[in-house]
Amino acid sequence: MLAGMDFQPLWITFKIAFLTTVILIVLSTPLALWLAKIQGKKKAVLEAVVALPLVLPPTVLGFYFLVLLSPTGYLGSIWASFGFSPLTFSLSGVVIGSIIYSLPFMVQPLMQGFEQLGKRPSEVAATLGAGPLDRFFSVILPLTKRQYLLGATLAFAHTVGEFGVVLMIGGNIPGVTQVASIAIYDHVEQMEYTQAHVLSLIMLILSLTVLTIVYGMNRRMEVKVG
Amino acid sequence: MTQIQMTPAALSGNLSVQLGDFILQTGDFAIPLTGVTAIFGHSGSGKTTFIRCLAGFENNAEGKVNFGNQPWLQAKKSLPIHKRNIGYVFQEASLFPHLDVEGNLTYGLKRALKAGKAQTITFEQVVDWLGLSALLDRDVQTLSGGERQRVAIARTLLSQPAILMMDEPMAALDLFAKRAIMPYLERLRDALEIPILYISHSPQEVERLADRVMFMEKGRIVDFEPIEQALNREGTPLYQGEEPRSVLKSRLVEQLEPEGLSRVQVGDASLFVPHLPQTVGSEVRLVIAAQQISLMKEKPEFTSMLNHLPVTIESIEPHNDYSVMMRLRLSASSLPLMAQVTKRSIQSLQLAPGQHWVAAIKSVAILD
Repeated sequence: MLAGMDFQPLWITFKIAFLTTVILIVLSTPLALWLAKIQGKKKAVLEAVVALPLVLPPTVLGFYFLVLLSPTGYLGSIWASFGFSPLTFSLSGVVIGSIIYSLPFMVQPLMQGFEQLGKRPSEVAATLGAGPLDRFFSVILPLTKRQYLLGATLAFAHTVGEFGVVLMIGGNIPGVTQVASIAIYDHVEQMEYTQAHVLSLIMLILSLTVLTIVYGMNRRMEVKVG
Repeated sequence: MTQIQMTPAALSGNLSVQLGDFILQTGDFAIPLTGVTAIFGHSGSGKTTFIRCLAGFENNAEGKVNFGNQPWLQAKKSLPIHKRNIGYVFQEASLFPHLDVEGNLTYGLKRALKAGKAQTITFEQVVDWLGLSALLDRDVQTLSGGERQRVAIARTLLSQPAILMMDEPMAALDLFAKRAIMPYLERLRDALEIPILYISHSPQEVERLADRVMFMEKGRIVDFEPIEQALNREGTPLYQGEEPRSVLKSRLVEQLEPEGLSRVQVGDASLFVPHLPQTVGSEVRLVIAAQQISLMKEKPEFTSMLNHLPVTIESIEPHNDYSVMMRLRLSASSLPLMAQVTKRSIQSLQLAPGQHWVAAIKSVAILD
């Protein structure tokens, strides 16, 4: 039954989700630190912008990305002028789309974590001779690791489950941009229910396993940090 | 080549900042870099804002700050906090919850050594000064409020600061913990060679610890004077609504065990007080209520009163219906002393400024 089964969509799905999450952790940190610090109208507007992907239909996001990133689009043409291959219908393009699509899931928990922490621990560390990077790695990061875990989990899970954005930017190119969710849709359309079942079940088990591990880690951190 | 300094080293400058409705406008200040300087004022007077601006926490602060010859703030250019070499103790201990007591203590020490600072304060010293030997293995979460603050002070000292700033370090503690931590602070005052800035709204803390007091009101510095002067003038903001009294710094010089007395020295005059538990040589602060002082023309020969000091009358000011407040100076050391005397005595003895008298002190209390 599994002979002739194509597992590449699973591999591509997790590769995209992993890359997206790693890049998001790096990008969201300064963004969330800044958002936690500012106040007033500016903050409200920026928070709304960050939260936008939560509300917009993925196809709307995907459509704008397609327009912007295509070799004739604003960003795509600049990209092409450097001699890079087009971002549309490529893995890189899908990762860029996923980063924006999952941004709020990473930024929001981090921002809340930084706000709860307040500026005091960082002030204390500064008076004890720690510079900005040192302060982040020796104090802020250890005290917000639960928010990092939560954000990374949500961003990863959200990216694994995405459909519309990938379809719009990446198309449905087997072996390149065909992710599990799209492959399952294809199988169902072609009445290949067995293959759809196998992929769906694997997704279900993998997701459950990842979440169980993450929540277990979260419990352990809770005990330690209080 | 030696350089002669024209003025003694000071933390000096001029600061202003607006935070919401509150405006800090210090005017020029120069805090000598020796001993303990208390910044005293009621809540909302701007003490904390002032010290936070000095430390560099407020990004909107304007003006200038110099620490000795080192510019900290100049034309909006601010030296980053971690390069200022300050020790800062907050109201709440603010220990790092992800580190144990030892991890907290060595956080600043490691960075100080890495930056090549000379270690003048050792781990063993702070453990001894602040009584931490029993706490080293403890988890930060299990410490009491007073213990946490002691660890926080030790952590700050181990970062080898050039100045120690303390923002009401006892304000968050209950009365019992306050009493328990005070002796540690007094010990630090005597042991440390770095200047201490101590914010407080408690006269008791100021009179026990400070060498000079800066008074703040509504975001301004209204007075800056030596502790003797601040404590021993009528209407001092330290004792609003309290009976006038003088506080004198003295040194314990002799224990007279069989008599149950201790001899202390104020300037070069001796006073006898009930036996003190401190060791000979330690600093003791005496409180003398203005009502406890009588004036005599000459040193009495036959009297049961042990303590009499030659004084000069500096001024006589009205006090209430029947008495006046006299400002006296000890003849030998010119330290100030206040005496409350009836108007009737002023008349009958013809008391006037400039005269020399002997102040007989009926009772002396010790600050504790």
